[in-house]
Amino acid sequence: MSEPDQDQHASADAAAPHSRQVALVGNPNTGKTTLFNRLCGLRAQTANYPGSTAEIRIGRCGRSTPPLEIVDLPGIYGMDLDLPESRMCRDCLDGRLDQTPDAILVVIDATAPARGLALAIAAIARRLPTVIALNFADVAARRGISFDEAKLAEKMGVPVVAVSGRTGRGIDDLILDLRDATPGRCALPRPDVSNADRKAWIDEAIAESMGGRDAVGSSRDSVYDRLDKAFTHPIIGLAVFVAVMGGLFWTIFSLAGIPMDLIDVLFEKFGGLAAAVIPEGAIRDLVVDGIIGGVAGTVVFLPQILILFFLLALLEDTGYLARAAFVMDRVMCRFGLPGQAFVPMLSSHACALPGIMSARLVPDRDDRLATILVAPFMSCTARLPVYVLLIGLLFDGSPWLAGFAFAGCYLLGAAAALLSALLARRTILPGRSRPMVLELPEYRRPSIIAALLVSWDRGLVFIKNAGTVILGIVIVMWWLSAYPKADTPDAAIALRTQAVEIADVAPADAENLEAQADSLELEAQQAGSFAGRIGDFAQPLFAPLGADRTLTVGILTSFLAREVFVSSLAVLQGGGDDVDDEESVLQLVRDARRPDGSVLFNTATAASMLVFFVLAMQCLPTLAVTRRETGSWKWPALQFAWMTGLAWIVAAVVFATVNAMSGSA
Amino acid sequence: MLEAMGVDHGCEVEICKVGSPCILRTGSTRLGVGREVAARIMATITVSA
Repeated sequence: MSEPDQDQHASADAAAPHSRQVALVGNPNTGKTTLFNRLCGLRAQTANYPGSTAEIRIGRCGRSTPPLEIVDLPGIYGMDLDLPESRMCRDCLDGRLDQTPDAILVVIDATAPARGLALAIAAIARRLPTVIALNFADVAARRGISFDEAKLAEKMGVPVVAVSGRTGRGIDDLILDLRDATPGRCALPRPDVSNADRKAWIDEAIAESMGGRDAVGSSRDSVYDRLDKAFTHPIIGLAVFVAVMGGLFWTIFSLAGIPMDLIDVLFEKFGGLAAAVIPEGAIRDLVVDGIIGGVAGTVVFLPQILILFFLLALLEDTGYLARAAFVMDRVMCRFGLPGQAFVPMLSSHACALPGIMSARLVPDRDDRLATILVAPFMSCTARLPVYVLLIGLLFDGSPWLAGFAFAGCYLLGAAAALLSALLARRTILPGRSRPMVLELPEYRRPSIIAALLVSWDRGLVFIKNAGTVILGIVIVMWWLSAYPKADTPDAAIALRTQAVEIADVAPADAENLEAQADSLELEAQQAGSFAGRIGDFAQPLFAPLGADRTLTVGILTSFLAREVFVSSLAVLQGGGDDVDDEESVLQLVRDARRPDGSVLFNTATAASMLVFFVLAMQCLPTLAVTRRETGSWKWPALQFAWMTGLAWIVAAVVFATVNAMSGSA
Repeated sequence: MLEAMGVDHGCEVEICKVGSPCILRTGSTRLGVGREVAARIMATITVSA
């Protein structure tokens, strides 16, 4: 893909009065996105129209004077259908979302033009300058399909350009026609003809202007038939699906680990640099612990998001995802979810953030909302450290039982997700999931560049939107835990004095004393901070789960991010905040005692905490992304209340039951 | 929606796969429809496989 010469066009842009807005319209699977990327490249952004939660990509094509602002509308099967995508197209073309477009570009699949021409007729009837792009011209040529663009243009009353979004063929001509387009008049006899007459007219137009080998009944179709039968078979299809999804997530886990570690190291260095440069005080604490720490906590998710959307875009481009949706629909529809919900649900096993973002694959609004609400129930990677810790406490020395418990956590999360979806579809989102009617696109070699651009776009959206909200929340949480500043406890001062005295004689012991002093100081700070006082206040709420004040503070801080729970406990029990040796943390926590001397993590408490962490909503970034994807704080509030409330109830039942069974205090 | 996708009154469809999903071909468009939707499409057999 070539980019225009910036210098050559800069002066032209400066002289241009304004850009020409072009609405990109077409059926799904006609290569609109690839064509959009070919026209705009990286100069595209995802935006919301005011009053709309749906996103539209808007790009700038600088190879024209005036430059073209391309608005990529969702793929639609008909302009007049009572579906959200069709409504959005109508609103855009009528100028109800923003300005009325200056022109319409209708993208038609050159290998299957009939449906696209019906849409083109509807677009031309709106009396806006219109151009038709016959996309996949390269594929059509390979199949021996020929077309007379001039004849078709005469019939349709608008310019027709054969293009290939993939190779770039015809793009320059297309840009010129978009620049010069005027309102056309389709040669269709009457605008109110019957569907049958319109269809006959279209067939006549195709017969007059297109020719070549008829694709129906070719060997390609028999291959597609065999593939479709396999991919949608109840057993083979499921096996293929498990293999494909397993490979996808294995790839994410394998590839994301290194860049995530690099991001951690980078921000650690950045924090260290800031700490060295900024004088000690509130500003340094805010920058290092609040801002840099908060940003790091968001950006660390970026590799997973980039890789997931890249791989999903590739899979979608191959045509496989549509087949897989039918395989999963058999299971999902029993719980009020559509087959397309499988991608967000499975993605949420890695991380709920990209999982929720990928819910855009679900076309129906209520189906999409139900999916977004329950996706965070799926056990994500952030829960793993907590699972490892608590299962280690429960089943120390029993690896088989620990393994079953691990699997049980995943199953519990999935069961809660499906049952919650069923409940939601019977109450707040009544109705059944939209019956599956999906066009099965041709199997194609995926476009790496298109997938990279999708991934890039998603990554930017994530950073820009989730990061701003999350950053704000994290700064507030940091402030709550950092203020008011507590005086250093006398015991800590005494330990430090002792450490100085023995530093030369016994440096290791001195280091231990220093660590103990740090721990006491941190504990005093936490207890005296606003967050600590909230912990004191909230402890009675978590007492039925077996939590004391220390554990309550750990639970509350983990609402920032689940994995914080482990390090919080380690610090609270006297370890450093950089303890990452699982064994040492396990030992610390196993030996922890309540103020009355009893074991903190008895069987009942460990079991209830495990269930709580499986089910509770403890991820502020997830809530922020839910808000963004739903356009309202109502849904993340409901998500938080339902998940955390359910977690509390089930954990309390588990604690009471196990307590009664074990007779532990 | 089906009409907009090419399955309209009087059209010719080829059934590539029965069951759920039922896979139809009309023209060069392949559609997958769930059992519930397929049960509502009335067709007359013109050519048997």
